Amino acid sequence: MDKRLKNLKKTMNREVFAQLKFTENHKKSIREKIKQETHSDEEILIAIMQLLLQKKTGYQLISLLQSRGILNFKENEGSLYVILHRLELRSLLTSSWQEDGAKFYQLNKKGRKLLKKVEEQPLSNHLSFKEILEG
Amino acid sequence: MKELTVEWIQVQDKELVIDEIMDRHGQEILQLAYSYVNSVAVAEDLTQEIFIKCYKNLYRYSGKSKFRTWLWRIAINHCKDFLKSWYNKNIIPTTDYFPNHISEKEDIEEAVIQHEEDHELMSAIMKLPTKYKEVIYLFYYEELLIKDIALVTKTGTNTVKTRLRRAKSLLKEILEE
Repeated sequence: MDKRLKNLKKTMNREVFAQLKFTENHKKSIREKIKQETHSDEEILIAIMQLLLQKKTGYQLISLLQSRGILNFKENEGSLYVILHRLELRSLLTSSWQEDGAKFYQLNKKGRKLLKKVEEQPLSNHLSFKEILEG
Repeated sequence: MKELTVEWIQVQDKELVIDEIMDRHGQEILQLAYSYVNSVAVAEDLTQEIFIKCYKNLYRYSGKSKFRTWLWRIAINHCKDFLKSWYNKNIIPTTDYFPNHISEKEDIEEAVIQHEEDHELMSAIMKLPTKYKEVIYLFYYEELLIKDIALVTKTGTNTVKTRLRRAKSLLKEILEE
């Protein structure tokens, strides 16, 4: 048995893997898929801030982001709340509890000002923007 | 080939990093996936998903393990999740290993016998339960060390050794039938 298994590499290369090649086409379609599925952190943060011009719950926010094609938080809600928390810590948004226990978030004046700035100059290196992304 | 370092991965542009990773590891990941699912089409889909997962999780790579080990763990997990999935159990028909036809040039009796034995061995391996199939593949095909197999499959070296032994006796049984 050992002897036969020692030849496994040769056997598999010849019998099985001869027609299995990772090609430039595979690479290309992976790259395209990545582009579709991922958005830069800046893009996401801008989208969150835009949506929070009106007050929303985290849950609403996730589904609205999804309809914008941002799926990052679908199975990872926690990371959205981390971002919301950072925005709150930097006094860019205010949160309020409703009577039914839902928590709403909304950009305040400072937040709206920052949003306007980054919308005019996307991907800029505003220090405060970087800080929010990097925690 | 030098391993990718965590410093390099974190400093470079992510697109460039994933390209480099695919150049280095694309072929082996595709083969690895195939060894689990025994279907070219499914292996290609899984490989795509594995690299996307890798891309999204790049920031989590801390350099504690070798990059290859880290990537293989993602890949192996992903393949096993697929095997466990409802989709696999209900939609995808189990594809058996169909050996290549023996080429006509080689119909010298001896070569034929050798080929047939190889076919038998291959289909016996493909029939093994996943945990045995994977140790056979990683040990004999990828020629990984026992301790590295333990790392990528998240088990211990003793478990790997036991599984290897058991896998070989299972193979013997299948081949002697």
